[in-house]
Amino acid sequence: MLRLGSPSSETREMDLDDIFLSRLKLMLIMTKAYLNGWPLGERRRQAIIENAHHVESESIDLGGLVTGNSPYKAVEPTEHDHVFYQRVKLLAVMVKAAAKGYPMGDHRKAAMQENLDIICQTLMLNSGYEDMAFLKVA
Amino acid sequence: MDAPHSQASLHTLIIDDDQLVRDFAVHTVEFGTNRKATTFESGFHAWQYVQSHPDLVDIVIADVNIPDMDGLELLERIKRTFPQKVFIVTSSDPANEQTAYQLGADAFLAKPYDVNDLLTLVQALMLTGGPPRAQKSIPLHSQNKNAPHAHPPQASDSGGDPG
Repeated sequence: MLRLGSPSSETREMDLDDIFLSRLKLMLIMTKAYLNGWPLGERRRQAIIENAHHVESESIDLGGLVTGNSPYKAVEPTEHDHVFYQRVKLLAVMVKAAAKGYPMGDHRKAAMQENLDIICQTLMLNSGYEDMAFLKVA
Repeated sequence: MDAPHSQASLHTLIIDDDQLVRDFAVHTVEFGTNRKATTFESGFHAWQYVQSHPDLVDIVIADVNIPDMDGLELLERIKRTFPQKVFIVTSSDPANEQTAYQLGADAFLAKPYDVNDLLTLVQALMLTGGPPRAQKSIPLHSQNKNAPHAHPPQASDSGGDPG
């Protein structure tokens, strides 16, 4: 039997922050998949749009999720945080547009990649995508 | 698991009475598989669906604490009637892990889980044919939780895109 998720000593019900952070990570993965040309079937496009909609609508209250080594560390919101929230919203708009099939030229893709990189750096996430190759075959 | 799943007909059932968790799981699984997932809030309704549509269910992802029929009872019924179906148990109580194993669960997903865990399961159980039944437990959760991707093995290239 496979065993994943939280260690036994840290299990609890999932709260809004857990859901939001997981959705944000999912959006980053979806964006990387799109930018790297993985195939997007209709179901994936719909999942991207709906997930981005969730992230966009919930990113108005991200206070405390950014800075430090842990995205879970609560701190006072700053001007830097405000810019980060706007970047998250912008990425949600970008990825929704891509999933809806709007024209995405090189400059738009470059802007999306740059925005993605900055968000990943801010969240201290690993922005590698090599291990997502299995998405090719779904 | 008796036989690998056909990726072209991969049907997933997700059962959780917390809509936020359920919707997140749906979007992650649907993105990972590019297949529609069916959802239920109640274990009993899920069991009725599995009974009436046995060919339309390949994988079940169920929380333990769900109304009418809890996830462990649903696991027991499904594994007794349809042993070839993959069953993933999710729970916020680690005490359920041993019971899930004894009842034949293919994976245990401890809450809170994140997108890495679900995508790893998508890769391990849904796209490559099944879990390693010989081992009791594989503590994949020791991986870096902040990495937005896990380290799944390479899938075989057999999928189309029926979307």
